[in-house]
Amino acid sequence: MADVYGDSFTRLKEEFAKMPGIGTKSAERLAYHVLQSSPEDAMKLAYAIRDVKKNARACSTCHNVTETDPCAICSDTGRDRTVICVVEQPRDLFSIERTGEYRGLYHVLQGRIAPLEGVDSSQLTVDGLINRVRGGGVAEVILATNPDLEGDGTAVFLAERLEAVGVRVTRIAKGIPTGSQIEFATHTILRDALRGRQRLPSGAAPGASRA
Amino acid sequence: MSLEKTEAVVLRLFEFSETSLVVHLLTRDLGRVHAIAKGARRAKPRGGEYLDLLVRAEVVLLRRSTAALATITDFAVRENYPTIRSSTQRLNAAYFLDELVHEVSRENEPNELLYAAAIEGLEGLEHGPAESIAATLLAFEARFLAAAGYLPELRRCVRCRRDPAPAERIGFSSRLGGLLCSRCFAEDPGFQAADRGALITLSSLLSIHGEALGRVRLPARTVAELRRLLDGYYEFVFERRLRTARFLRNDA
Repeated sequence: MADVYGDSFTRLKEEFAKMPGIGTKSAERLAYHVLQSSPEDAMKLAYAIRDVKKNARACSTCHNVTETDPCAICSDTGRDRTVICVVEQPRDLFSIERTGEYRGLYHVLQGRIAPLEGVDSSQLTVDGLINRVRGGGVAEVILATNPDLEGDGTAVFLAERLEAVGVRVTRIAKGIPTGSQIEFATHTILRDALRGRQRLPSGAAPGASRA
Repeated sequence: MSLEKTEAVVLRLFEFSETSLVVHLLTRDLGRVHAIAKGARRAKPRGGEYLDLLVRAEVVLLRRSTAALATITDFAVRENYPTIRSSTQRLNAAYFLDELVHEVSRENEPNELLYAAAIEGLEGLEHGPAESIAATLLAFEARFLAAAGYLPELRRCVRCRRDPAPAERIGFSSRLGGLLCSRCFAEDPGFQAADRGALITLSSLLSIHGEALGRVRLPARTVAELRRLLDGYYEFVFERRLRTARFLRNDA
């Protein structure tokens, strides 16, 4: 059935509906919102979409999303350049940055090894990572891929490749979330926590050291 | 509408919304089930357990005759195979097992033998020594093919039923489904030359289980020969190349 608001409204609705997590009803609500907003506000949205596609690209060093190359993190001389934290996606990098705990560099893989989807290491930025480490000056690589089967598999693959280059490779910890209770933890979480237990240094809380 | 409790292995996960996943499960009692796991992507998922590929779990499913997807109401992980997760070789074998099982399992058609073969394969990959991974995977494949009704004839000629002479050249016909003796080569011009010892090895692996399988060491030549024949056979049967097959050859 043709949309009573015309072709351009239908097109806008269809474009919104292509976005992740947006169904037909939500797309319609968003399209109505744009229709009812002022021309200035609607154009701000249009320009923001245009600009992000025009200006945003992958950093040639770490593959994070950036408008400058190298990105702000790679160019920041105040960061610890001896540590690289490897993540699957830029959104993982943003999550780690929000913690304020990490002051090293990053490497965004742009995915993970997913054999069931036919994704192998050549489709990721693995060679770029290996070359960065080979370039020297890197003492540690932290593998912060997701703690699921594909993330773990990607981490194991990277660890094998990186250890051959001769760098210290670590994996982010798994286990019981802070503030939760052992009584309510599942056996897989408890097992991970026990396997990943760490020595309590005298005079310091565990995990107190910062990169 | 019915609530059903069963054991299952997670074969596929798809993002459905910000917080939910669609899951393909190979269940022990219900065949393959496609279900929605609401809230499974939350930092603190409902039920407290994270869904992941290739975990074995007790699940409670809410099934409605009118709905295409069941709903997972409870999910308790029994085994998440930590050793498989820590080895590229074991992991790639497990992915291959997953793809094979997903390929032949059917929605709502229970296949006890297929489920048992999958669990035995995963247990073998988890607990067996690294040197027996190739044998464990091939033993799984033999059992998987038998459970799915695709086991090729491995000892006698599939065409004339004759036992080939010891020094006789033999072939393997994907189209006819197994060993081809030299007299029957003309029945399938597309046959592949085959090593009889390798086919007998695959047949023998059907009856080796558990710790005994962990002690099996196959020569690299036999593994390569069986890989070549089975990959061709799968391609014929499934009419496509399996995505995970190349990961068995190259690590990732």
